[in-house]
Amino acid sequence: MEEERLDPNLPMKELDLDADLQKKHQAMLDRLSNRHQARLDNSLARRSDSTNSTESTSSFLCRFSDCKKSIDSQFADARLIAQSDPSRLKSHFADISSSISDLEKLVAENSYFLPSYEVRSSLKTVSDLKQNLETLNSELIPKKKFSFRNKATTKKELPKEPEPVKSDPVSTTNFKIPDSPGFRNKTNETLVKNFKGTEIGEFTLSDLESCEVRLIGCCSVVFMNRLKDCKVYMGPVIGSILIEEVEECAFVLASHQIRIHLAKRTDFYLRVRSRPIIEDSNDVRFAPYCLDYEGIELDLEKAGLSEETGNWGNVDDFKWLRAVQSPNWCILPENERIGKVHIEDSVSRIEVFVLLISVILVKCAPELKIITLYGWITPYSIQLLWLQRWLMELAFGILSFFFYPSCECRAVCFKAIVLSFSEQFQGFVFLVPWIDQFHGFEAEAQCSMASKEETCFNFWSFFYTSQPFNGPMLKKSPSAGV
Amino acid sequence: MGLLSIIRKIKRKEKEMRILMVGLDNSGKTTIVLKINGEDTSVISPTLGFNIKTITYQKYTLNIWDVGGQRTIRSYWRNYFEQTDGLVWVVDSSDLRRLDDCKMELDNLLKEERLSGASLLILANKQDIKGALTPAEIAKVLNLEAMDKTRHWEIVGCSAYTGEGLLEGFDWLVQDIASRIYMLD
Ligand SMILES: Nc1nc2c(ncn2[C@@H]2O[C@H](COP(=O)(O)OP(=O)(O)OP(=O)(O)O)[C@@H](O)[C@H]2O)c(=O)[nH]1
Ligand SMILES: [Mg+2]
Repeated sequence: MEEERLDPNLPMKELDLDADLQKKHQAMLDRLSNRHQARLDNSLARRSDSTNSTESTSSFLCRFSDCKKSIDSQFADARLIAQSDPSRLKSHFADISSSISDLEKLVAENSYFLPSYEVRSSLKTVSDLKQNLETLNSELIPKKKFSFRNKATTKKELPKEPEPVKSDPVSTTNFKIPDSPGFRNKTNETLVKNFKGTEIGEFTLSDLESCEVRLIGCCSVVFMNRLKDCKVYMGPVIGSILIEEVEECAFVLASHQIRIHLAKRTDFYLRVRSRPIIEDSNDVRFAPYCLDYEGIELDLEKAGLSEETGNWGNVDDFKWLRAVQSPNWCILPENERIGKVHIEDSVSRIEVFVLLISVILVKCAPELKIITLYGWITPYSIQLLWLQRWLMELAFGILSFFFYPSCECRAVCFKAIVLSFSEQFQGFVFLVPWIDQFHGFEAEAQCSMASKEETCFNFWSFFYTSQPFNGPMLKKSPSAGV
Repeated sequence: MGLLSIIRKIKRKEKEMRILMVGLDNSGKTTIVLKINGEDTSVISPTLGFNIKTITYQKYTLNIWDVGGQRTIRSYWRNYFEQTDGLVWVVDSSDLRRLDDCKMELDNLLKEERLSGASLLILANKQDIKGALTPAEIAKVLNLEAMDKTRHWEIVGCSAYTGEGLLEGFDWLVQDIASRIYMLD
């Protein structure tokens, strides 16, 4: 540290010393200036957008501290004035107030290039100055008798969280907010949505647990809240993505703006046009976008996101006031990143394979409960997605049709197959009147249900319980049939 | 608006108006200001702190303060209340889930004494998005009819993307402020 204390002017006198010494001096000076630069860079490391930001930031800081000093001395003057000429106090306070607002303007004018820390600490300084002014004002020009009220308010220096005020019941009763498109309240599912060819505005994911979500194509806004242990893969979003209350998830997202609130232990693979921000979050890690599906290039281009901006790592933490790296987020180490993720919007081959295996197993070992069986052979990541579920139903329908000899049961199976078609493809409404022909069979089928056939019904009802469709034949209450 | 402040305004040399833009984060405040000013809106980061734009509008000079709306920095809003002539509350009409939050913050703001004289323009932004609530629906949710009768207010649907509705809103705001403050000329 000794060299730092040397006066840079000293070498001038020693010019005529031998060249060796001179060289040494030069080297030292270089080192010094390098070190100075490094220190500057360090403190400004967080924002490196513009090449000259270092320079303009430091010049801003100079101006800012000059102004602040002069305001501080104005404060000191105020006390003197209060003793010598109290009548001048008012105008003096007005002067201080205008100096403070000039200072505030200075911050505002420069805030677009300043590192976030500087903006926030300058803002804090400004608000402290205002507070001081108020305190001094009430102290030197006491207006009210109950001056302690003013003092009390000056104590709360830190901005406090807005208190949650119970919202007016009137407002919620006189208007029902409609639901927007989205996936809500799901556990252990693979949820797929393809936006291609549809005109989707906003899309919502909420209250999901242990799900995998794939959104293919472009949309304009995405809201996500309360997700736990989920994987979310998403095509480009033209507007913004808002994420709240997520835990132990992985997101692969591309968007113009990304705002993350209340996230814990979550990884984000991003491509963003502007700087992503986090608030009230911890243990979040960032990496570049890594999604692939057929046609993603076109979608990215359409959304103006075909180029990597490098912004995925320029995260602003609204909860971190310091210039040093926020402890709440970090860059995801390369060896821990997931590779390129390829998604498809239909059932992938492995899922069809799993489906086939399960069908075969069920056939060979019908006494096994289908639920256990399915949970057993299906890897966690590819839990039932609707198409898969439907294929499964269909396969069971067809299998049962051939395996159960009794005519009534076949009829029921057939009906189920038809119904499951018309369920999935709502366009097939013409099938519906046709289904009615089987109504006559239904009662009989339910009455003459032998234990073997019952197995068939068991898994039908299992599959249908969580489905909107709940065909009458599946309500297996014995009385219904009689 | 008290007599004193009216006099103060008249004494001003230019016809200046101070306009404060607030609203939840992501509602589109910065985009709106840039759009009005004819600037590029393709890359906007969430506002850390605030921006000031001075815009000449008709024969007035508007000082527009666009303050960041992230929760952490909402508590700084009160630093900007002083001398506000017009308050613009921006709502993201597609963000249905946070409408409660939005209502609560607006209610808190309107309790603020220093803002009691300000004209209030509510911009129901992002009308271009499919599924966005209409201005009438937003008015219902925010229960605007129940507002203090002395307040001058107006709600206008707009889109910062297409620019639709923005001028209509600001026209109303500027006229309303002008008729209250610069009525004497
Ligand atoms: N579709 C659509 N998107 C909009 C509109 N206005 C703004 N946006 C988008 O909404 C997002 C938020 O916009 P900003 O202007 O940054 O929001 P803000 O209110 O300034 O947010 P804070 O600075 O955090 O308070 C951006 O992704 C904009 O592109 C609009 O009219 N329509
Ligand atoms: Mg902004």
